[in-house]
Amino acid sequence: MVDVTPSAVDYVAPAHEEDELYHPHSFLTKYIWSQDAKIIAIQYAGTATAIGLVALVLSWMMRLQLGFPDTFSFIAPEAYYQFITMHGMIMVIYLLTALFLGGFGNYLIPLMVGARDMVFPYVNMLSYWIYLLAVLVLVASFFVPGGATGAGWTLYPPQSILNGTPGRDYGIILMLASLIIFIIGFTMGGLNYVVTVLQARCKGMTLMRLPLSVWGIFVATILALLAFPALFVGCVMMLFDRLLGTSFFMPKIVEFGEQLNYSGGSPILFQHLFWFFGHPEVYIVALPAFGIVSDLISTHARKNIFGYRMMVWAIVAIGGLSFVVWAHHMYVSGMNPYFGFFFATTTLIIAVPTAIKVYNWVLTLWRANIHLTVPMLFAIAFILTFVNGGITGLFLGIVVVDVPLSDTMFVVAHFHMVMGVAPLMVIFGAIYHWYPLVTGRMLNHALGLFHFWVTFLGAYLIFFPMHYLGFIGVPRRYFEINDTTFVPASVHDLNMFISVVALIVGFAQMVFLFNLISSIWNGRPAGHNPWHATTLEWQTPEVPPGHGNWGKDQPVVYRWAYDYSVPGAGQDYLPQNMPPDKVPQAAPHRLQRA
Amino acid sequence: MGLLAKLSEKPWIKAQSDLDDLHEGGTFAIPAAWLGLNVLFAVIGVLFLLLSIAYYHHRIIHAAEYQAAAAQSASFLDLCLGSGTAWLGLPKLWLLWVNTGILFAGSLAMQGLQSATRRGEEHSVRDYLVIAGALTSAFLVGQILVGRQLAGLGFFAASTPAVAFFLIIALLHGLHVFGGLLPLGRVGQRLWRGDKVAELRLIVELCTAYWHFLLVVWLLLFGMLLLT
Repeated sequence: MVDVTPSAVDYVAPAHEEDELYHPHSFLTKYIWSQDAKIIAIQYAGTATAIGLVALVLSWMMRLQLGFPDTFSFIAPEAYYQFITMHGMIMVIYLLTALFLGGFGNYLIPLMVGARDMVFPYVNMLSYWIYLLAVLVLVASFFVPGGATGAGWTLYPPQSILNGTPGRDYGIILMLASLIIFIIGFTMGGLNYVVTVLQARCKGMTLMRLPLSVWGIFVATILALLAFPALFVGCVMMLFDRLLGTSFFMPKIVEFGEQLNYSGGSPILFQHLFWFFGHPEVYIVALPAFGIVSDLISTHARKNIFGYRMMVWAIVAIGGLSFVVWAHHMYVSGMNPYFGFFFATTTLIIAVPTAIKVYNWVLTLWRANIHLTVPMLFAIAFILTFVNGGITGLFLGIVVVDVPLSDTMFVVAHFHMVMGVAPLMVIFGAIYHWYPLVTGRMLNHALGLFHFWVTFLGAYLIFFPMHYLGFIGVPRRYFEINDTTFVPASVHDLNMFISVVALIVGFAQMVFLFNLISSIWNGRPAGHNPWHATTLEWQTPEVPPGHGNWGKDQPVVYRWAYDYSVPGAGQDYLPQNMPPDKVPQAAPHRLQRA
Repeated sequence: MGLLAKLSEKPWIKAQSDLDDLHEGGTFAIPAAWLGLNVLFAVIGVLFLLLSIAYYHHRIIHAAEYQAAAAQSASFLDLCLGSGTAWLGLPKLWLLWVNTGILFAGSLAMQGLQSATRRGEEHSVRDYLVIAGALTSAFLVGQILVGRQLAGLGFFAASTPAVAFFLIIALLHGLHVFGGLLPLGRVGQRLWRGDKVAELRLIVELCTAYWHFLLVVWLLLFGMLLLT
């Protein structure tokens, strides 16, 4: 460490009014109605995975139709639109958001900041059960008359609530109700994450000693707390339009030759509300991924993260900028060209802090002691995929390029790469990384490698060609394209190829699930801190961490989260809670060699 | 220390690390519950701000109709309660004013409750609690009556965006007020269970702040609807 004189620092004593920890007394309160953030995290993760599998099956149905049209009689056009809609909404909201914030947020925040639990455990428990209710309401929409909504995941009015759109009768109502319930539940969880990070850190844990995982989840939670109200307002207003006959989003309109009773509403208003939520939502998913992947890379490359402060600033800057780019999703809605120019400019600006992060990940890897573990493979795959998806985002951020590419498969390929595949790479890497902490056992390495290579290569085989489909104008959201004049026959072959690969990649996820479940009993015992990580979650007295996390005494932090390969130290990692006088010294001959 | 200064720290430097070792963990010298409430205020504030923006968006795209209404010196609520040139229901406006007064009185009662709690006067606490609860419930009943009157006048069927904005704002505000009654009920439950008044101080202070916040939100929204 360099010895410099820092500027004056004022520190705030913590508030100790709520130190009492809730103690469960029965199986029900310990594992079902649990107020322990770790159990809640597993509940969130389990529910999100379950509903995510439904969305995965829906994507297979879509691919079967696109790859082999007129083959499967059970995939009617209405059903296809329902599959699209539910797949998109489930993946974005009920899987990715819930898993990153509800799953990883709940598990990692208290452990990484050195707290015993979230600051409001009861509210935290409610958050999960309300989330589960939201999921159940969503699932119920599959079974009501008319089925789930087929309005597309953006739910744009007026078509989403007009006759002719699948699920117009009940599906859309349940979808809107489910989203409203989800947001109420998330707000309860989000309050916990923010306040726990700010107020419940252990002694010595300053903001700038926090691991980047916590920074990513923390800023993403703030984004979500401020962005979800826009979706909430949009959903409530549309529910009014659908149920009470108001006209927030409904203009004077004719349906099947009949003049409807609506008038004066603005469909564009819904688009603004939706995307004012929708674009920050991209970063609600991406920021936790950025944070987690930073920790994976640093740990598995045995090197401190390059440019820690820049990484924190970039997370904060991306969070702020994400609120001023939303209308780049609406270039074709007929906006004023000056607006288009403004939003194109902000979209390009947000690429700057994002690029800083990419450079820093790469520079962390530069001349590092890279261990090609499964988490590391997924982390590297994330960087590649995120750069690919990000660059095609620059195409779509420019108005004149976006207009011809709008509503083509290029858009589908872009957002699947940048906020589908890339965050999933981080989720997989994170699961391989923290599974030993959660269960005390390692995942099977060979199955992990199989899962990684099939998923990584498969994702590219699926989505890379899809960009070319978009370039030649193949539209998205079409049930079938048949013999459209501008679509060459090779498109059908490519669609077939993509569909076959999608099924194979889906199969690889089943292998992953098998690994997850079987390793609970058959996995190699992980022992304490198998990755030799510095962060606090690995320093608990028990593995998996027990109730209250820390035994009798909370940890005291003496260093930042990235003391890997410190010169002069006798081991290549110094845990955050290792006192300076306990740091093992390197043998003299090793020092000389260094 | 400001946020920027905090974010400029270099935790890997020894001198900074020595200072960081002294840090006790919290960021703000306030209870976690207060911080949580402030975050909640921000979320609710954004919610109603977005509704207000949506309302102004509606006003902008229907500027001509509103200008015509303004030529007749008609306010937003006139437009809500009017139908074409025949202005219906104007006398009903008084109920909204009464409701606003009740909400204001409820906030005053909460202030009294907070003062009594700080002084530790159990009898006053019980009195203020009942008064605040009753006034808040009365406000909610009053808002429901306004909604029923509007429905009775056939405004749902007419589906004017103007009246719809009023209804959605009143509904969401009312739901937040109702939500506030839950922790207030908890205060009552703990009081009647025999908890000491001093133990209730934090939750009463939080509830009071919440009541004041929702009063300000209502005054701003009601003012916006009245004045535009």
